[in-house]
Order: sequence, then structure tokens, then C-alpha cells
Amino acid sequence: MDCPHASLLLLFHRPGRPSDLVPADAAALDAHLAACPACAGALAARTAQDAAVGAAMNAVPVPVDLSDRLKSNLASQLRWAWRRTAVKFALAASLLVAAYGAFVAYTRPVLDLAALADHQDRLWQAPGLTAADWLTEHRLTDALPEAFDLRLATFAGRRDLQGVPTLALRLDANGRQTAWVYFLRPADHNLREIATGQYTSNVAVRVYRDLPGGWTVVVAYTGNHFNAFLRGPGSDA
Amino acid sequence: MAAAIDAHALIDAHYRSLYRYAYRLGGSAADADDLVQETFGKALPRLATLREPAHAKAWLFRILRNAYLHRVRDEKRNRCVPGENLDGYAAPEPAPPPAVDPATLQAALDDLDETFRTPLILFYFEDFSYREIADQMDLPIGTVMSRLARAKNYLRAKLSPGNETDGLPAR
Ligand SMILES: [Zn+2]
Repeated sequence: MDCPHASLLLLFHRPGRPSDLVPADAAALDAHLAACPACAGALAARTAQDAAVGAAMNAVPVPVDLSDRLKSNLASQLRWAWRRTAVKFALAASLLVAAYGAFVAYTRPVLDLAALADHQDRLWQAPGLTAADWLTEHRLTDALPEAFDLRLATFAGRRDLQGVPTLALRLDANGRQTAWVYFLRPADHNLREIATGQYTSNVAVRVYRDLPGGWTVVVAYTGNHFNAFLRGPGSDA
Repeated sequence: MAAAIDAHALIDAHYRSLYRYAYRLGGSAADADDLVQETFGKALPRLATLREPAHAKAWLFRILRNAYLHRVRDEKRNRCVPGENLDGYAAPEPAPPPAVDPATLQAALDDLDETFRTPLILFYFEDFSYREIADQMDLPIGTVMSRLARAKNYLRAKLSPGNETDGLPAR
């Protein structure tokens, strides 16, 4: 090994530390240093200089309270992390609520008074036709248990029946006689115990079970003449 | 709380060397204090991501250097010796080295570009191998060696008596 090669390897040689050199190079360098006073002297000078600079480099007074401050920072950081997490969740929840509110507000239908009036007008002009259309639309035509006179219809739609929106038809005959025809599903009410009968002095109820489509029909009517709601002989409506 | 115990152990093990590193990087006690706090502030929430406890020191040093570089970039500080000029500092004749004045050393460091200052500081802390310094700086080891050799020559010239103003650029 010559001196230029040795001085190159010396760059990787750090006394007191594991060498970055491979063992063969380290051994060759050691052999050269033992034999070459110039390189050994250069290494000694450099090592002394490095030691002096290293000592100065490390001579930094560290604040005595730094460790305590770091630890108290950590404690408050942990507290804030929890708080931030809680705030994040609360924010996310309130955003969800707000988004749901906005969704509901945005998607609620506009009340269409023209359609409402039109529907009522059609029912008034041609009650039989309108009611028949309504029955067809809801596939109730076959479930109609009697030959009702649909020209008497004054309402065809959903009506709240003890908390359940229920398909219902109202017929109004002469002399304040009214019949409500309800189309019921077993899933909506418990219908096992209900029976036909005169329930008050003014109102009688008829129950029809096992109609096509699985319907049960309940007709509640005033007056003593059920026939008033049916098509008369010869009627073709 | 297990995380807090680990964090305290981490602080105790490394705050001194981090402070010295920060001080030598920035040259100011106040900045060093801030940098160490910022380093632990960034590191501790991510402590769970540290797989190898043996790498904690290198990890913390890297976080500190990134924080420092971020600040310097923000301050747009530009009072360093360009790296190209370092070749002007030839190694003086071997002589008994004087005891080095830490303030003079810091002044010399302050005038050095960070890309040379960081390997020099890490080298003299003797905590890191060349390989680890290279990893810290995301550089090939050859680049680190070459910067280190040039920076050491520069430092030797700056610290030699009578050489304080020899060819130095103004801050
Ligand atoms: Zn030699």
C-alpha cells in the first residue's frame, strides 16, 4: 500500500469507532501506518484535531428544565389529542345531522295544489269512473266484495285507520248515509277477532275475509239500508 | 398509560443530543429549544409507527433536521458559504491543534451551507457512522464522505489561529 492509497483509506478510519473499512483494508492500513511515520503522524494530528473539535462541538449547555418542559408538553398534547378527537367526532356527527336535515329539506315534495284540485274535480265530475280507475290502479277491483255503486264515491285514497295509512273508499248515498270501505292487509292489523255486526245504534260493520289478493275488506256504514250503496237492478255504472 | 411511559423514556434518552444538534444547526439557544420541542411534538404522536426502537435516535434526528430545514426555507435565510467555495480551504500543515473555542466553532458552522454543516455536526457527535449520516440525509455515502472531507478542511482553516478572515465571505 502506498501513501495516497493509505490517506484515502484513512478517511474511513475513525479511531475508537468500529471501522467502516472491510477487514482486509483495515489490516493493510494498520500495516502501512506501523511502517510509515508520515501517515501515522497525519492520522495522529487528525485524530487530535477531531478530538478537539468534537469536544467543542459537544460543549453545548442543555437547559436543565428542558426535559420537564418536554414532558409537560407531552401531557398537554395528549389531553389536546383526546379533546381534538372528541371534537372531531362531535363535528362529524353534527355534520351528519345537518346533511340529513338538508337532504330532507331538499327532497321533500312541493305541495301541488293544482293536482289536488284536479283530482277533486275529476272525482266530482265522474265519481264512478274515477273510483273505478283508482281501484284498477291499486288492483282492488277483484277485492271489491259487493257491487258498490261507484257513482256515490266522494273519496278514494289513503286514510289513517288507527295509526295505519289504509286504502279506503267513501260512498255517500241520499239522506246522510255514508259507507267507508277499507281494504286491509293482515300485516297491518290483527284481524283475527273482528266480526260483522251492529256496533252502535247508527253504525253497522261488515267484514269480508279471504278476498282475491289476500285482502280483508271492512265496510262501516250509517243508516239501515246497506243496499243504498249498491248498484240497483238495471244500473250499468 | 404505556404510551406516556415510552415517550418519557424516549425524551430522557435523546433530548440532550437533540438539543446539541439543534443548537449547532441553528446557532441559537432559543431556536434549539423550539426545535427540540417541535421534534418531540411531531415524533410522539407517531411513536406507534416506530417499529425498531434501535432506530429511534436516527428517526428523531431526521425529524429535527426536517423541521430545521422547513424553518430555514420559511425564513429564506441565505447567509452561507456556497459549497463550491469550500475547496479554497486547504488543510494546514499538521501542528498541535489548539483547544477549540465553541463560539468560534459555532461561527464557522453558521457560515457553512447546511448540506456541509449537517454531516460535520453528525460526524463530530460520533453518534453516527458514515452510513447512518448518509441515510439521514438521503445521500450516497460517497457524497457524504466528500462533503465531510471538504467541510473538515474548511473548519480546520477557520479554526487555525490567524486564519479567521482568510478568504471568508461576509455573512
Ligand atoms: Zn504513508
